[in-house]
Amino acid sequence: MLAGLVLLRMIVYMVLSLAITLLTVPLIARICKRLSLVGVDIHKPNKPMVPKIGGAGIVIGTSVSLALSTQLGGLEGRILLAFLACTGIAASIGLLEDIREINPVVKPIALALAGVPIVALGTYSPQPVLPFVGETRLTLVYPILVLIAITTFANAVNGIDVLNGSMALTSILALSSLTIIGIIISHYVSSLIGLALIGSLIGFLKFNKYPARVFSGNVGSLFVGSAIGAIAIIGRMEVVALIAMIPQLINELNIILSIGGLKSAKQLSKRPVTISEGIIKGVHDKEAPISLVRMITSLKGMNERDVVAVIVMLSSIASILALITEFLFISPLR
Amino acid sequence: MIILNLFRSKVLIRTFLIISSLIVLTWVTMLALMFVIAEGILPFLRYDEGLNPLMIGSLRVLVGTLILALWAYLFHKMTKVWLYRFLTKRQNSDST
Repeated sequence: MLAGLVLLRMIVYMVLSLAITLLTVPLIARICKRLSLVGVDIHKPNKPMVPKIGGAGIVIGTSVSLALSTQLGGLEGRILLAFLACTGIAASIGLLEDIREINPVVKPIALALAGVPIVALGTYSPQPVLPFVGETRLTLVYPILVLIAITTFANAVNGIDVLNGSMALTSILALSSLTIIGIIISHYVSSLIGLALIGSLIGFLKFNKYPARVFSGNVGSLFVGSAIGAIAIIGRMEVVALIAMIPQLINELNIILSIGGLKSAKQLSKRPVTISEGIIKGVHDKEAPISLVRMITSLKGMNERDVVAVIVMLSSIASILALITEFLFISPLR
Repeated sequence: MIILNLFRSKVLIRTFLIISSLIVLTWVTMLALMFVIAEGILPFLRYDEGLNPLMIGSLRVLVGTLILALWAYLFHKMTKVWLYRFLTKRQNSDST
């Protein structure tokens, strides 16, 4: 009965964040057009100009919904403060990057700082549960891992935000597995945050799905990535989150390792894919960066929708593996 | 709707199966390394009496970090094999 009421309350906040995002994204798109904050959709044959910080709607939708839930006793004030400060810092860095370029080495360091509120407010447990190992004790190291986790997740989600709908759809899938686990292990706080974020992402998807009418921008993708990291830490679902995010991590890690460090797109001499008449094709050059889109389009050139379909299916597999890991290898050790 | 697109083309399905096998293998590798940590390494790095707990703790963290780095390295190497052997090679044979 109590669990049912809690679940009903969570769904109310999810619907609320969805509604707020649906209302705010068109307004943000209008402001972007007025301020010339637009980007080229290079995957379309006619190369349209699209408002580029629509992801601010996700920030507003999720934050307002969670703030209201705290007022009504759904979320502890300290956790809300840690979550909003962490994701707020990441979103601000994203907004700054949308307006002017940030040094590719400075960006991950700045994003690590987004983890500081979680550490400072003590909204973490330094005893992550690992498969086979069980509960570990990382009292001294864990705060450093929090900073690394936030920057890793934020950059991973940022790196997958290259096609219409790809960031929102993959994040919804990863968050769904975390939310389900949160409900089953009775960690309702992480599920409440997860569902509010899912609501916002569903609302945003209406405008960002193919053909996109708004882009998320770094503001949206860094917010979502840092939020997933924060949920994983607050909800003690670190390993599961890592598994649910394997496609995003494959993408980000391989790009960094294949180009030999942190570099901006402008510093790259070779591109991972070519685009011609809306068809994306992975290059067959061993010197080119290895990205997930390059891997998907190496066999044959594909249109944007098909590439997103494959990414979504890969994300679904990762989310299922995350659930299997939790129930077979982690829950028995909790 | 977006998922149904996947079943329209054999190339899409083939690509999906090849990359999902990489994801599953990455997952299995991670579990295998965790098993090695749990059964092969941590029993030798226990917080026994007479041993400095800070030193043991540091050693455990160091070993864990090294294994995580090994996993990331394997992850990248496997991706390269998948890309150049399974994804690029087939393209060459398709075009011939």
